[in-house]
Amino acid sequence: MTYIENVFVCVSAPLLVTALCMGRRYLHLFLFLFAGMASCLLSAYINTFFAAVFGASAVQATVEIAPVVEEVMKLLPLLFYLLVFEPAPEPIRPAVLTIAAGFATFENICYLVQNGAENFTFLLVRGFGTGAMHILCGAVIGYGLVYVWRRTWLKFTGTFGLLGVSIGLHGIYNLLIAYEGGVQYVAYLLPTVIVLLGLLAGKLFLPRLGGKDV
Amino acid sequence: MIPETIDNFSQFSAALLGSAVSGILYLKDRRQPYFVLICFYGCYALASLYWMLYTILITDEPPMFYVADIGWIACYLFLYLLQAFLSRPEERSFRCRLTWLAPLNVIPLTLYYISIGNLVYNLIVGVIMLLLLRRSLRGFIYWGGQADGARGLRAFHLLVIAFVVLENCLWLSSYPWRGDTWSNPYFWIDFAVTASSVSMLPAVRKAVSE
Repeated sequence: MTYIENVFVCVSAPLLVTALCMGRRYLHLFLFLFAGMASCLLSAYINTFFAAVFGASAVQATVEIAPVVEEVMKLLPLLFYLLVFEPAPEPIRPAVLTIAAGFATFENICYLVQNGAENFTFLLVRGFGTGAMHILCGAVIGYGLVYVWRRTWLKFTGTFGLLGVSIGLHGIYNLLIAYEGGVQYVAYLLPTVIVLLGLLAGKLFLPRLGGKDV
Repeated sequence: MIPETIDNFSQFSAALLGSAVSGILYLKDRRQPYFVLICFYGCYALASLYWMLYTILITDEPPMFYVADIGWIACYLFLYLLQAFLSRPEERSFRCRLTWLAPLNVIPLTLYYISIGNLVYNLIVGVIMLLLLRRSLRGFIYWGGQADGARGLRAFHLLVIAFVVLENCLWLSSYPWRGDTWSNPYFWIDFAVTASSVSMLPAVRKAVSE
């Protein structure tokens, strides 16, 4: 049995002390990181709950339950931030990316606790793959929300649509992971390649657009 | 297995192409209908890709929860948004009895789908299909009656009507399942759905330029 909440406390405690020492200016960064890790913790509970309720196998839980639960859970802290604090567009992207990073980090820690840390090469590829996938889904939501939350008519549909895109991406990733073998490495490499291409495209196209928001 | 894979792959490729072309058009013209069109095709492509991979990779377990359905619902919502975005104020205030054809067709079909499938999913899709069909019928009739009718908008509304009708034909043909052979009408109707969704791109382009 994995005492995931104990792991959460151990990881959060030094970060919390650091957050208090670094002052108000950096506090929000740590809060989003905690929110991401807490979302991961709650997702694990909810995934287990739904898997038990529906009598799902490990594969079904991975490819059908986890993408939906995890992406919805990741969106909730961001929605809270958007609805309660009504921030300007600029801080939305760092917020969503930090939540995604916190989620991915805690997921990797739990994976290490459950499966051990012997195979360095695999863990290196997996670490980058999982991290890139969560960042990619976060980027889709973050960049998309900046666009759709400025337009009232797009808010509901846009948010649901972006959630649909991130669930789709996450689902495809989990599908390839669940198949194992060589396909698994395609899954790990795919989000990393997409993130790199996205960064490259941003460097190439944004200056031509005069730095406007796309 | 082969017809289904070819069908899913063609749908995915068409949606991906539509998404890429809409992206190029958006970067060139910066018009918002193209952005909504990117979202529509993007959701369609992702849902198709997920479903194609699922049918290829997971062969020994029946689906418990259809993740691809979320993508398809999102893409129908974006299509509804595109309709709302392209319609003009005079079109929105237009009243016509023929729009009652939408609930007359969609409600019985939705009740049938609910009787054989999932309540929540079919209810959500039924409501969206009803809204899509009602708005496209109204737009098509309105622009058909105008001497200087916007042809692009008329074509777009006609394609949405075709899309909704074909989707319903597709769902009707899927139960009972007639096997993974080319004699199954499901695959041919699905190709028609793909064709109707791809045809929306030139229609939207024309409607935007009018």
